[in-house]
Amino acid sequence: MQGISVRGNVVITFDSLVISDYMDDGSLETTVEAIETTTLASTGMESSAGMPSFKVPMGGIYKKALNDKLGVQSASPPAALKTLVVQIGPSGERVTYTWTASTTVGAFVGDYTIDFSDPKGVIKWKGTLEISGAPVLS
Amino acid sequence: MLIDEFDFSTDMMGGSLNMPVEMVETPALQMSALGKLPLMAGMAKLEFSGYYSGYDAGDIHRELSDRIHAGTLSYAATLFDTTALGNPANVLVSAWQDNAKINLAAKNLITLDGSFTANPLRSGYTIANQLMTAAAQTGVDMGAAGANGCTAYLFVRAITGSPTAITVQLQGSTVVGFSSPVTLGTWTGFSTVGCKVLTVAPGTTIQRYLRLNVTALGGATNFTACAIVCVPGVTE
Repeated sequence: MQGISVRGNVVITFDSLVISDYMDDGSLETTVEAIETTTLASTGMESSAGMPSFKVPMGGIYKKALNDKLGVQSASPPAALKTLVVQIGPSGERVTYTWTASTTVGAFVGDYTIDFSDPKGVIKWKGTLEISGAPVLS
Repeated sequence: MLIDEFDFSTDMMGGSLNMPVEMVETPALQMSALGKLPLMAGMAKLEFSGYYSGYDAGDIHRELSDRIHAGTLSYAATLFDTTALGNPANVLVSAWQDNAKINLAAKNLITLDGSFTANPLRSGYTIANQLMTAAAQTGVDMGAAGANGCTAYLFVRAITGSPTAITVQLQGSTVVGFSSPVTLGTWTGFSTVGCKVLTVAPGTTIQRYLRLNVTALGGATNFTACAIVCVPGVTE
């Protein structure tokens, strides 16, 4: 089965900025909490699915335009959540996750690091978008 | 990378600046996924690796060690893309070195690892980073005007001559040509190296274009300094 390349097939938009233009690595992570429900009558460990939680760890080449968004919002976190759209795949093989900003749904900068550890390389960045609420898939 | 009046960039082989955000989970009975909200900026951390260069005054190991042993707080700043003015810079205010290590591998140079931590971390743009004489300096486009004051950090690295009272204005303008500059604040009568802080009161309009204007050298021939301006709503 032929795979789908990452290049050109991922678009991530956060607070109106196309973050993917500055990314060379990233992922969309979904974690479902496992709630232990083992009782005295259980014959083995039992658990139930809890709430899903989402985040987008990412990183790339440092640019001022990227820092003006993520750096500013990590130094002074805004009170309001932001709209996040994660589009994966080419037309015909595409899934889009959308968190439209509201009082309970949306994304914010959870962590941001500027990495200048390689004097022979370029300045890089890495960070995490923390996400509140569930996406709309299309 | 600046620590008070010192530019240790030529002694550094690299580093990173981490800016975490404290958050809280807000689960609710009818939510289909976990809710989260940002609370506040966390403790920023500046990590660095460098080369040991001796123990004279001004050497990196001497200056950092003195500050650890005396419990002295510092201003630490990182400037990014110093090929041009108007690029981002961060200032760790009241920073302390929370970690220091000297590496002594047999088949290597003596190297240093360390980190500074602080809150608050201020985000701004570099509007000056040069040798200055008595004149208006090059103006910088901040991208937008601010409406709630600003804080400017002047890292004075070297002074030539016999200074008694150097005076520098922070000027703003609505146009790039500074035809009618507004004086937002003044660093008045300083004569020593180090970080000088200028606070422009909240509620004050900060024009889109900013520059330094050196109005008096006060016995100095020239001085070398970097200015970082942090404008709420614009750079932070």
